[in-house]
Amino acid sequence: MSTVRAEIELTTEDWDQLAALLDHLARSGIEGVGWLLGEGVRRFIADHDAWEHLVAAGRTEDDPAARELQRREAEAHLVLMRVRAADLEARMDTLRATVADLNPQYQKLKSRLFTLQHERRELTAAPDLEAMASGSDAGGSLGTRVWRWLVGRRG
Amino acid sequence: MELDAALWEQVQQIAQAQKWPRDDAILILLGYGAAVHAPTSAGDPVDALGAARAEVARLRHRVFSATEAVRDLQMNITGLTASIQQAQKSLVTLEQIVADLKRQAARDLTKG
Repeated sequence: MSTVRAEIELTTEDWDQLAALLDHLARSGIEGVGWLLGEGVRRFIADHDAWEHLVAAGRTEDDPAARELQRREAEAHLVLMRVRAADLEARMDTLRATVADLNPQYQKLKSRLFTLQHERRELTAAPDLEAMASGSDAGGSLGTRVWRWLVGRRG
Repeated sequence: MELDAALWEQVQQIAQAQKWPRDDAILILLGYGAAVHAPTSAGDPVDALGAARAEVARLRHRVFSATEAVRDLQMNITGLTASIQQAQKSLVTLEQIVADLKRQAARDLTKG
C-alpha cells in the first residue's frame, strides 16, 4: 500500500479536543488522526449526496437532517479557521515587535538630524549686526560669535 | 503523518471540487470527521447549529481583524524602513556639511 506524507497544523485547543475524541472512540495518536480524516472524507462525500437530495426535495429549511449537515459543515470549518486566526495573530505579534524595534531607531535618527540641522543653521546664520553694534547680543549664534570675534581681531 | 494514497487522492478530488486549497481541505475534512463523531453536548440540533455558526462568525471576525492589523503593520514597517534609510542618508550628508562648516569657521578664525 503506497502512502503520502502530509503535514497538518492544529491549535492546541483542537489537538486536545481531537485527542479526547479519539480516546472516546478507542483510537489514538497519528493513526487515529488519519482514521478520522478518512472518516471525514467518507462522510463528507455521503453527506454531500444527502444534501443534494435535500436541495432537490426543497427541504433545506427547518429540516432536522439539513440542520445536522449544516452543523457538521460549520464545525468542520472551525478547525481551519482557528488555525488561520492563530497564525495571523502570531504574525501580527511578530510585526508589532518589529515596529516596536524600528520606532526608537527612527526617533533616534530624527533627533540626531534635528541636532545637526540646528548646528548647521548656527554655523551659517548671518551675523546680527544691529545686536552686535548695540552690544546687546551677549551670546549670539555661533556665526555671530565667530563674526564678532573676527571683527574684533581685525579692528 | 502518513496517509493512504487512495485517501490522499480523495482529499485532492474534494479540494478541487470545493475549490479549497489542499492544506485547507485536510483540516476541513479532519474537522468533518470530528463533527460527525463528536458526542453532541447540546440536545437541541437548532442550538448546536446556532452555536457552530456563532463560533464561525466570531472566528471570521478574528481573522478579519488580524488580517487588517497585519496589513496595517506591514505598511507601517515599509514606511518606517524607508524613513530610516532616508534619514541615514541625510545624516551622512548633514554630518559632512557640518564638519565642513566647522573646518571653515576654524580656518577663518586662525586666518584673522
